[in-house]
Amino acid sequence: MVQFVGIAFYYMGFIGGWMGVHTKARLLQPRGITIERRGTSTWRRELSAHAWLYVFVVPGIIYMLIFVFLPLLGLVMAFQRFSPYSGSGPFGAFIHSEFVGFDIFRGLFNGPDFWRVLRNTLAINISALIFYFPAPIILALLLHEIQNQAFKRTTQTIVYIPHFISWVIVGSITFQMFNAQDGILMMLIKQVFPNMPNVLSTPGAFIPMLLGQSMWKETGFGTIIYLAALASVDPQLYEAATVDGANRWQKMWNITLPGIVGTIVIMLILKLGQMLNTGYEQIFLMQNSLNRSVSDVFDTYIYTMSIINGNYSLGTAMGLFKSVVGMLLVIGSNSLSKRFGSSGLY
Amino acid sequence: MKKFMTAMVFTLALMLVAGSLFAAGTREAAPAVQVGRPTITAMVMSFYGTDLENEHSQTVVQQFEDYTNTHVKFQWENNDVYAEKIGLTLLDVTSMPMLIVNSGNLTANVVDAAKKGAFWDLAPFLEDKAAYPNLSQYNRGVAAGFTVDGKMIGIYRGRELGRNGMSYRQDWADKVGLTKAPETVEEFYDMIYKFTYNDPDGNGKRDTYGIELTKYVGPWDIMQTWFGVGNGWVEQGGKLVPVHQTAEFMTALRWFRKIYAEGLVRPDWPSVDTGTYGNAIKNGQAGVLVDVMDSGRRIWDYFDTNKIPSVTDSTKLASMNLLGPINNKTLATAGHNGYMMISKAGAKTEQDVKNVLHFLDRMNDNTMLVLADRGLEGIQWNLDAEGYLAPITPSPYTVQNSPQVGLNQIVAYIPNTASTDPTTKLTVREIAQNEAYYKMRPLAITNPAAGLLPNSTVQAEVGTQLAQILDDARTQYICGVIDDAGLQAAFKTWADRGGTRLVAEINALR
Amino acid sequence: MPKFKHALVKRSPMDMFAQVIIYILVGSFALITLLPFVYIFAGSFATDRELIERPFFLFPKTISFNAYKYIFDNGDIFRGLRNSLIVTVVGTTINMFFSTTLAYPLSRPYFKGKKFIFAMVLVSLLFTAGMVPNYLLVANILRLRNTYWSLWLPGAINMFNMLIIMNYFRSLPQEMEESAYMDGANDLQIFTRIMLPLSAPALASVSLFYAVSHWNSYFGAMMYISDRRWEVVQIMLRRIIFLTQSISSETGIDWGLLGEPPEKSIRLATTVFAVIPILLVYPFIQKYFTQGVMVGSIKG
Repeated sequence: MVQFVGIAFYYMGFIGGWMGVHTKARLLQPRGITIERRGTSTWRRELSAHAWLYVFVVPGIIYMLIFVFLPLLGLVMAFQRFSPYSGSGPFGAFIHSEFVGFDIFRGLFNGPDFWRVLRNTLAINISALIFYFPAPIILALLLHEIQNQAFKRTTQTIVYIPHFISWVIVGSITFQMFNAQDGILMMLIKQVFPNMPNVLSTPGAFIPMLLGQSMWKETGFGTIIYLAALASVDPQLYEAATVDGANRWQKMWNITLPGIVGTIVIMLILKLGQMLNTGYEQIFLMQNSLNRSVSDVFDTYIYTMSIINGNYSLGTAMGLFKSVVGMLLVIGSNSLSKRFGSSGLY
Repeated sequence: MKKFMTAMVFTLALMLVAGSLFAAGTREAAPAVQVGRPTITAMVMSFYGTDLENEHSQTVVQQFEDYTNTHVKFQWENNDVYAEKIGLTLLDVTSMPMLIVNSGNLTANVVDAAKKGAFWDLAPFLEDKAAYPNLSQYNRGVAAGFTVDGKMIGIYRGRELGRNGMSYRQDWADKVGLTKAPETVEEFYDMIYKFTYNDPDGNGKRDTYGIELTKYVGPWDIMQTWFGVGNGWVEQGGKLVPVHQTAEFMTALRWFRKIYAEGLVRPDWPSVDTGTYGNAIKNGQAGVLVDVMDSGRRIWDYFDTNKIPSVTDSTKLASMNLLGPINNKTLATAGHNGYMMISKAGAKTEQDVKNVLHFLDRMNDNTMLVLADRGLEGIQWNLDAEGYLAPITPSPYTVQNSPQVGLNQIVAYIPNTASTDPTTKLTVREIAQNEAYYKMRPLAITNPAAGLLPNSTVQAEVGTQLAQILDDARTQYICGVIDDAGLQAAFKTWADRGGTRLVAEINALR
Repeated sequence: MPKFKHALVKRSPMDMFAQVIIYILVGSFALITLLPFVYIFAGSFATDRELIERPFFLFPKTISFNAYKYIFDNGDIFRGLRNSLIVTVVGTTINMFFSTTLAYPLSRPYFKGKKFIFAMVLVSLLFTAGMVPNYLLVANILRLRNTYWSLWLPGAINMFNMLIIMNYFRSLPQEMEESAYMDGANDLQIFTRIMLPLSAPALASVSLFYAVSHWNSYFGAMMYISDRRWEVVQIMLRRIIFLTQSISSETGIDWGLLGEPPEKSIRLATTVFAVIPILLVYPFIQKYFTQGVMVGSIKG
């Protein structure tokens, strides 16, 4: 009973805020199409005129209340020594678990794990930025140069496919192709580079392998947005350049690249906003004893701590940290991208 | 657009139809639940996804329900995510299965739940020898490993103590001129050296090596004992110390590093899929297996079934010598193969607990052991003229689709690890395997701290990570990734992360 | 896009050479993409012995249908496919219902309370409570374990997708709406009869985004679904392929009477089956995906 009252208060706070915002918002809203008659109480009119719209948002709002905001309450466990057995039932556990303020966070930042995980996550993402990010751009540029439409369409179809394959399949195929015992690719590589260390077990090879997988899977699909940008470059520029005697590379440098540089910058900035995120499944599937020092990232660490070790507070604390920093990064990168002419995410 | 839609709809319809048709399989209808029987719920591991759903499975279910007079609702969870499922199940405090099966030792989240009273203390119940003739014979020493705060919160699943040892390809040994089985580490070294460099398969190529290995690090633990290293912890000077702090450990590790550098073991072992363990021996790349003896026996079975010829005499078949100990030492298994807990959220009354225990006890009777391990009479086995249990071959079923697959999860194997009557007539290979077991039982080295670890808060907090640090360090040292200094650094990390506290606490708990 | 009039311009040999290189590069990339598929197809028709002995082949020396026979006998993969289909189709419908109903009012400039709802959407975009609170909600409070609702409800609206739809609604010309109002239509009718049909391209693309996400999703099903009858294909796949990698370093799996893990060829054949539906449906839907990405990214 107590818990439900608590939640009711939580939502009442929201509603109060909403009323405040709404009043100001109403004054700022542009008038809608139907508001021809002036001087009458617009709010009621509004409601009846566009009753359906208000009905429409109800499912969405209920969804957000239950599945987004209610769990956010659960973040309080990052400030508790949470144990599901402290009270009876799920709400009880929150109420009765000992509240310790920032202790958990202190432990988190002082412990060695946090910095290692942070370092790994950043290492992976920065490497991805340098090596994996250009791949779709280059492929798009190459595809753009292809004249034979049939060839182009076929290759496009082929390279889009891996995007739709799940990581479970990709992980399993990677293993089967790269293991030193009978992996075909490993054997081929060894012919050329006899001293090549074993890809699946060497820490140094973990990031390249991860990037290789991502490139196989996502490069093709990633070209779509760049191809779209390329398509919007005015063809007359090309024709003029041809007349002026420009060769292919000059055209690319002077016309094509500037045409898509806007898109590239925006994608880059948006990627920056994702600096702390990694593909959880991909990494989890390729982790093992030897590469753990580089393969433990935020998502896998949170998962292991929370579910397997049962240290719910620590896992949630790290998750909260990641969310907050992630949010700041997204907001920052979104404003940046707006400065470059995009309408941003929101 | 229209064409696309029709194509879509057609494809989807096709898939749906195929799905429904083929998914039906050969499963029979479930038998009606008998009125008046107590019902218990159990959470168990599923390895193949076909547990108790194959042809004749319903007969199996019927038989065991009649015998134990209990209806069991199984909750099968995939083995590959079982650790997660246990964690998630423990999160839901108001609704849990009555019986929860788990493998390995107690983990941190289980201990935490146990300390908060999530499970029943089974010791008082099992005092009743009349009600539980089988279970009450449990080995107190092994059970100590499942005692938290003085309460026995789980009953272990029994397993042979002396299962770990080494086995090797006899025909290879003959080929490279080894006349007797190795007994010391030096002789063992000689063997794997010859297996690597003296062309045991006689094809003129240097394409073999000594020891088969995968990322499962158990073999290293076994080989360590040959150097006098203990099992996890060892008694030194009146105190318990972890084995990595002993001098013998460094000797063993240096030796491991040497054989790795010399190419005597599989070079990429830390990344190899454990599912392929044994394959290298099966296809003639390696010659030695350090693991449980029945793995060696299974490889021998493979040679027999697939008629792999011996390298010395192609009219004969390859064979394995299931040797066992080196230096008269080997690693004891934990004596258990997991444990079963009874949750208070699931078994709400004492009567519920008694129902579960009654069921578990009955499952250890010979009739049930035969059913769970071997299957149905007349379909999977028959009694031969001498009264032995003879499996019907060729077997009508693979393990995946045998009717009783998965049922042995809830068998505690106390006091016997197999039915005593009837028994199977053992093949030559199985006899060799059992002899090895018998030989090793007294030689197997146990872990003196087994009973204390579950009660240690440090173990619960960082135990898994500490173990991981040591395993990773050992792996890296063996492969030459780190050197002595690096190893010591790892030990220091272990100590800082909680290792020192752990040692202190364990000794205080004695 | 009009073709360049390259044919009219004389190409230098360097240029031709460069062109050839480009074709080769692109072609090689396509081949590399195909390689793993070839591997799993070929391997699924081979015997286990050959898989142990030969690392890679285009055609197995001995063709064996054992793996497929086992799959058809066993029927599991079909159950998995059927379940994935149900989850995907119903899930996508639910997704689209929630997403479009939320997106439409937000796209109307005269809708009151837009700012507030936008704030909520923003929070949903940026914040996630993490695994444990979400699990507690779905499993313990709502008691949705072992039902497909645990897969359909928690992610019912993906805010990115919702924003894509919203932007598309916004971009539709206002005249249609105005004339409809004149004719006395109310918002519901405008929505269903005018807006939705006009947005078909965007809606098709977004539905496909949702559908692929459902089809490939593994985590939700792993956490909430235990009953084998409701298993989806990714879970099944993972179970079979990673079955034997769950050995911890402290305890070995006691195969004992469990027997050996499934043969490699069976694992490969199962992978083939998991991949086939995507490959079958893919050619039809490729167009909508490329369209969707463009609609989503280039706005206004």
